[in-house]
Amino acid sequence: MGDPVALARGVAVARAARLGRQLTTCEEEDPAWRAAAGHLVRRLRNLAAEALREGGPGADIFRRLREIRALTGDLRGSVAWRPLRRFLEEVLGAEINGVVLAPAWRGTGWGHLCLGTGEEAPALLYFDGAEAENPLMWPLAVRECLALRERRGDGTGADAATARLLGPALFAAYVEAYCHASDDGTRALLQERLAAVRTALAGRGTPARFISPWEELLFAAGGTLSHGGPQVEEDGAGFGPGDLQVAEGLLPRLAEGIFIAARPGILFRREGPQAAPCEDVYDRLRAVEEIPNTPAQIVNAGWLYYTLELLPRLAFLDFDRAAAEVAAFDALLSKSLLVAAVHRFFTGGETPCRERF
Amino acid sequence: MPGALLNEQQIFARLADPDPRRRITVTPLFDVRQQFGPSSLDLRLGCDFLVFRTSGITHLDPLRSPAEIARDLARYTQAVEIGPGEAFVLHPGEFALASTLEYIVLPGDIAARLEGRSTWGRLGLEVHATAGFVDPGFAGTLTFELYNAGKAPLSLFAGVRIGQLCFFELTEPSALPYREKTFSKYAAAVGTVGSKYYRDPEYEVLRRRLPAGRRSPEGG
Repeated sequence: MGDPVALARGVAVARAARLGRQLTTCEEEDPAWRAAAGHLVRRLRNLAAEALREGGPGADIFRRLREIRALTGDLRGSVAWRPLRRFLEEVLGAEINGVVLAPAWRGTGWGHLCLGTGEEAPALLYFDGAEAENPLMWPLAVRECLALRERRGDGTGADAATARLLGPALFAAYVEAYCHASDDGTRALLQERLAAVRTALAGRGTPARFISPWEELLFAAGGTLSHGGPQVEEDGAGFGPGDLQVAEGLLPRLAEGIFIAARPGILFRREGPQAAPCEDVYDRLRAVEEIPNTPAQIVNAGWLYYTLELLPRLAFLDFDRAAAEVAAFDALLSKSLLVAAVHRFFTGGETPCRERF
Repeated sequence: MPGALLNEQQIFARLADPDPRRRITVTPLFDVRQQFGPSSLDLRLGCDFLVFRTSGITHLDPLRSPAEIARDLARYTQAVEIGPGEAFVLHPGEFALASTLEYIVLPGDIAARLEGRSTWGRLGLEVHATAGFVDPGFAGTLTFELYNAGKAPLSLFAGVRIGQLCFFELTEPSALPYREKTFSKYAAAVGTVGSKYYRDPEYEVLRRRLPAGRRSPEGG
């Protein structure tokens, strides 16, 4: 269902748009940035235009995007990291004490550094500053948190555990990170992790249509996917086909630009909105009550919409319009996550994965 | 206010209407036992605020260029976001912008009016200064213009019901819906947005027709 060239074009334009947004933030915070930001945004605009030419973006486009990313890593403005921290704590079900979140520098992307030895040692979790406001990539931060928590060496266990919490969103995020990776070593590491995630998702019965567009993009970008080792016995808990069904059901609202923080509750689905009148008027009114979606459902819905609708459409828009659409989409997802968290705070609602972990 | 005020059953019927052209969308909608009134639906406070800081500007001059005014406004306002269980404290005499937790879509034949709740009014909290009317076809979060007219600071939490929306059915659907249904769906606000008064076309005319020296009181 995916066209890898169209996806690659979209990924390149969206990356340029997010780098441009980061530069604009720098400029708003400090007017001294104006000349540098203006210069770099012009380069991004040209790269986005080149990415749309016949045949799609070549490796050179992504290399030049990485060069700008390396500059913005060093010359970044402040980054609002609280939404990312909240996402981590919601998905993991606990406060991540002792972990400092910070934007990565130069060519580095997503990772962690232990600042001492032992289980309780403080740590630095770094993330790609250009993606700090893009919830689609936050599964990579969850993975780093789990790697820190579990101290599982190469992190293979962390990949399977993150796939269990967040489903195919982790796979798609890894493929996009592969496109943006700064060196061959990072790309090789990401391919190993992708293989582990692929195996874990297969073990969870994830339908191929949620993975194949990103698999094809990986191959088109020169990546390969080896066998990810033995399948781990699954207990059926965690993110599964039912959650993917919920995620697919959220697409019409995303297309309308409406929050996907909640969905119709059981009464609405079981009896329909026009059920027979109840004696208690409040019981009847409850048919329109909604239940909060989990962060994993929201992020997977986001990836579906991004893959099927937004990225292919970016190729037909001028850069300013594409940047505005990407910014609005990121804001809609971020706000949906936050509103769902407030909803859950008051109602308990469906578990945001924490009890399943 | 023209048109009929909807009661709770009519609001419910519109919320549950399978026809998107007639449906009112308010999401998320939880604890309706608390949220529904006889002829209104309570709205909750959202998570993001704009507060005002005056130390960096002398005044707001609508006749500067739009880019300069945008920079002025960026210096004049500061965004604040709260999470679940975190408080935003509004001190006596302070003004702040906020938004509803809910995303709202009105069909072309429904207008609405935002009002405060008496529970909060008794403490001095005003939820809108002048803009309480919601046009047919509106889509987005609604803006609260919060003002603490009381004597004590108020701790406000996201998700708390501070306003209510009354709905009015027009006798004929509007031919000028607030928002065109092109793909520019994301243009609808999903958070608190500050004033864009300087984009009013009247200021374009003023900028064009007034000589630079006559634009401010000091310039005569």
